[in-house]
Amino acid sequence: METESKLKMNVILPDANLDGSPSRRRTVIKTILRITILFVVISSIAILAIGYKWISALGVFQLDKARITTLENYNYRDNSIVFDSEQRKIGEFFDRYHVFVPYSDLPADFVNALVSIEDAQFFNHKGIDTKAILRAIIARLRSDSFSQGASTITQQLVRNTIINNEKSFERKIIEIAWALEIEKHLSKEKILELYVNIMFLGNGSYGVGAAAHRYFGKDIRQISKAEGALIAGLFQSPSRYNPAKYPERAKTRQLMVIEAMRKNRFISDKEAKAIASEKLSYKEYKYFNTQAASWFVDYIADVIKKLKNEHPMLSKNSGLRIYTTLDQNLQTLAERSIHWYDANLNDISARTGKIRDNLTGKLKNATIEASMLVTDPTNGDILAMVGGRNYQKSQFNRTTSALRSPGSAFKPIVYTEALIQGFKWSDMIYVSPINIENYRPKNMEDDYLTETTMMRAFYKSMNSPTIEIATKVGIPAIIERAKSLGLRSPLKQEFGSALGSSDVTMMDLARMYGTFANNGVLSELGSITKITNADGDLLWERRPSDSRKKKVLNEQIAYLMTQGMRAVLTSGTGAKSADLAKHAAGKTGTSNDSSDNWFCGFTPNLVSVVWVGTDEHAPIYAHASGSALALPIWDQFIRNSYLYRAPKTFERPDGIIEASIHPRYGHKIAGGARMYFLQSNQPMETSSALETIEHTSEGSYRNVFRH
Amino acid sequence: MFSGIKTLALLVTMANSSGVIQAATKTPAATVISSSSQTKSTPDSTQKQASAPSPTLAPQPPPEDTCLKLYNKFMPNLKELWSKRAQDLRPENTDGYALVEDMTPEHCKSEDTRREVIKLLSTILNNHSGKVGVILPSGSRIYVRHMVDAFEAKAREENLDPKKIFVIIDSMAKPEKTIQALAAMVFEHKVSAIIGGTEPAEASVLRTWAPRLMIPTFLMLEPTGATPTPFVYYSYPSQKILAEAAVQANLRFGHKRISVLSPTDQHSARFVASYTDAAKKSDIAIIHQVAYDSRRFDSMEAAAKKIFRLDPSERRDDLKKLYETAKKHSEETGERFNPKMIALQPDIQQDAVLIPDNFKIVRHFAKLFGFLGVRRMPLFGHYEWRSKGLITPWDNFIAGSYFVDLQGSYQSLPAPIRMVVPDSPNLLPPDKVEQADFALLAWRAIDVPLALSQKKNELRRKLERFIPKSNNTSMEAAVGASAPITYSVENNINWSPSIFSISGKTASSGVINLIAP
Repeated sequence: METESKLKMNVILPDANLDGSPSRRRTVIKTILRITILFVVISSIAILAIGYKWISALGVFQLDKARITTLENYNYRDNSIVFDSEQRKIGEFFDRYHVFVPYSDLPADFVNALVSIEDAQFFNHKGIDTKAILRAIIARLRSDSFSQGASTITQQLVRNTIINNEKSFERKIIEIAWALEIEKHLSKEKILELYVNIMFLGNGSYGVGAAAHRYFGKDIRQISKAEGALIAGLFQSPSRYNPAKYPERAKTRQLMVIEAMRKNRFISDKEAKAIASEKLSYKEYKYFNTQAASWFVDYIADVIKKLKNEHPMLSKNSGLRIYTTLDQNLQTLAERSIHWYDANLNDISARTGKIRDNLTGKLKNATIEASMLVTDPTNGDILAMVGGRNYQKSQFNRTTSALRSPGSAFKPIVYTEALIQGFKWSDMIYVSPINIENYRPKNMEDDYLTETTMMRAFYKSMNSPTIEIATKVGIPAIIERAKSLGLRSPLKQEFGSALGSSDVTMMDLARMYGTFANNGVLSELGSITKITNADGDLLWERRPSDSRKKKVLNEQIAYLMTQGMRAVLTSGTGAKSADLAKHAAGKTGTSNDSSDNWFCGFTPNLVSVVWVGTDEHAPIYAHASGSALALPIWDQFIRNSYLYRAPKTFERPDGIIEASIHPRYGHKIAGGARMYFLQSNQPMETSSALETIEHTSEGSYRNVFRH
Repeated sequence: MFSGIKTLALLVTMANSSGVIQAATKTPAATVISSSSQTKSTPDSTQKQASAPSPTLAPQPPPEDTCLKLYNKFMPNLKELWSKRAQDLRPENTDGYALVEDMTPEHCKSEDTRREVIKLLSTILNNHSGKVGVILPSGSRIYVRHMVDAFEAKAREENLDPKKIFVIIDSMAKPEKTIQALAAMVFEHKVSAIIGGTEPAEASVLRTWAPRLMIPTFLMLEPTGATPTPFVYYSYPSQKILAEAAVQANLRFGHKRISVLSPTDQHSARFVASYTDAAKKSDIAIIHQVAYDSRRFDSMEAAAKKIFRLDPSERRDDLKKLYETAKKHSEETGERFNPKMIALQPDIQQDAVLIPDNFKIVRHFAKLFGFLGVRRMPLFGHYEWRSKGLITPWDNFIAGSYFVDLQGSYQSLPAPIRMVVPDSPNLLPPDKVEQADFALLAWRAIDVPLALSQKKNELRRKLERFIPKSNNTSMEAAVGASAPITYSVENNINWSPSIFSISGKTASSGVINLIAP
């Protein structure tokens, strides 16, 4: 700009020195004039030639028209939005916080404010404001610096989209050239729409839509004149006038905008006063994703990241509309169920093993965490996901990322394999300690010197009978069965795996328990139903329901296992929730030292997996177990879930018979435990020698030498 | 009822008029009593006399002192029994035995009354009706039903009518009722022999009264070891013979060093005592004898640890070595050192372990031994092992174990008492086992009494001489349920136990095999 001014001054100077006598002087003057004219002409030609060549060298005459086209079809950056199953917004993704606003949605008062402060002649000039330029030059000459901006909105747009912000004379020439060119191709409205949506406005917001959200928590359509004036004032220097940091500066700037509006007759004096006196109420920005289903939204981001590998158009700032399976009612219920148990969990926290504090180096109790994953077994939809007790304190998603020992929650796999291999629930087992290759698992209550049916061993979660069964059916078969039922985490080929020593995720368990709930059909878990762009064009859609399902288990076996898990509630480790057994089933799980405490339960239309433990795998004392810590949370959840998902009963498939069985000895007996069998593999015994022993005072079997 | 001499005289008159006295005086009974009291005949000569009585014996009554001797020997017993009879014992059915009540030693002074004394004693002690008296407790005791069924089956097998041959009276397992039953058997039914005494209370009464009444009595209870009398027989097998069979089995399998685990509840105490006695005689060493409480797992575990020397306090050096080795291994390999994984290995000094308890306890011990690191150990025991529960579900640890039982194969039971054998000839459903046991016991116990009852021409007090005896008590002496029944010199039934071994049938199932006799 400075160079340009000097050039103009030189051109004007000769006119300022005309003087001389009449004849000679005339000749001389003529000669001089001719010479001068010649010189001037030559000089001018030379200057013009040089100037042309210089300007030409700048590329002013070869502007890339494609860039205009790019602006015409500008691909606005826009946040991606995550919706729940009811199309309610639950999250958003962005690298830069954008909220696109079309020109038609811009409030007129805001446009007036913006134009007033940034470019009063915007709607009149052709890209540059010559008067403003002259004012700027004069101001420059007077102060030896530019105190007055001469750039139009169009020029600013050029600086922020086509060329960079470097301040040089050459760049200014190019900027002007582009501004003139843009004005030829784009409407004033389009130029303004581009301008207001692209510009950084502080506090992480890009564009007026984002700024309205971040400063006032509103949509731009809802802002007041005063708020609009404040946002309009941010364009000049968003950092300097950031109201979140410098509210006084911001207010001063807002007053300047209001004054500009008044001067430009957009508002009256009275109105200006009123607007100026309006108290601005800033809203602290809260990360939207932490408002509802925080861990779920994080999970969706991870899913999108993976999907992007195959579908590159799915980038975060491309305005994706992501429709998910989340059921907000169940999500809220899941969170409340965990918080409902807070007092107990806090109490237990005092009885965990000690860990070393990273900051202080001192030993402290590990913090008890809890998480819950809720899925629909019929289609694999993830309905609720609570990754921990407090997202603000820990964003670690324990439902998807924590690898934990499932303990006895793994046992259904062992018993499933046993039933498939021909065992039946009434099969009797002598309960004694067991030693397999120096592996000596203990029963929870040292419950030995007794006998049990396989079913009772299952619902009471006895370890040694389970290991005994595992030795008979084989660990490789159990591992394969686990895989087929949906466990994707690597499992160790060792007997400990039968008791859940191999770590798994909650997703693994949700798939597995969902398979039982869904009559042996494994439904792949899913969280996203479809993804569109901002205009609603479909970009991605999940596979049809049928192609996401796989029959992995005979429905009769699935039913037998479901009944076994109902017995967990009626008579076993889940008996505290016995009244839920009419419509629900499940299994407790407790790992060594109670580091992990589980309850994995299901109804025909809902799977809910609850985990309680510490991130540090610290032991939990004081009789901690899945029954004591996880079951109450599950109970609270499932009981209230009936409000949203009507309870159903498990339907018995063909080929199943029911019998009353002695729970310890396995023979048919009136008033025994209800057990279910394959019609082809049912118990025949009607008596047991063990019962004979039980009924003799001396524990004698044969009565012959009773005296 | 019939007090006073006048009444006695009246009854004698009545007896004379009805020919009872004549018959009585002509019966060998009078002769035998006199001969036994006057001569010391050998059993053979007595038997000859009994089998060939002389019909021309002099009607002279014995001298007074003989009468008194006989009176003093038998009459007080009869008087006592009469006095303890049931009140509903019908006099008309006692054939004048009520005279017992009025008899006094004075009756030996007069020749006439002396004859009556002798005749009365002779009738009571010698005459018999050819019936077998069964004195058993009934009530809810199902085994009694099984026994009676077997008695009747055996009678039918011998072409006898059970309704006619047996007189069955309920003792209610009470001494007073047993005596009443006995009085009825003697005075009213005049049975040839008595079988009963399944309960100690009734057995005690019968054991006491059999010699006093000179009536063959077969007790259905384990022998007590009391001094034998010619009239008391034990028709029940003893745990002693089972224990001796167990020793035979030890020898058969070459097991010479034995650990004995004995339950504290004493129900196998006799078996254990008999076993240790028999083992000593056969040079089998009992290297441990440890008691355990079968209701407490910790007690069983302690007993098991004792016989395998797994108590750390006994093997501190071994434990220290293990600890050091594990630590060294951990340091060398980088594997986590876990002291919980260190466990003493069992110190096996025995060839076999005796567990004289039920199959359930055996199975738990088998698992416990496995848990303690014992890979293989033959176990052996007795009749309480014999159950499907011993081999189901199959545990390979018990393959090679064995037990002894009073029953052989169920399939070889006599046809009338044979059970349905669905799975194995050596196993029965649990609700059939008791029936099979008591049916066999009864079947064998009634064999001799039935035979005696048919010797109607023999004096009842001499019937004991027809009881088959055998001194051969080897296992082969009385093989199987259909073997001839004999009694030992101690009057115990000769019973041959059976030995069974256990082996794996398939990888997942086992079988019980009869291996001897």
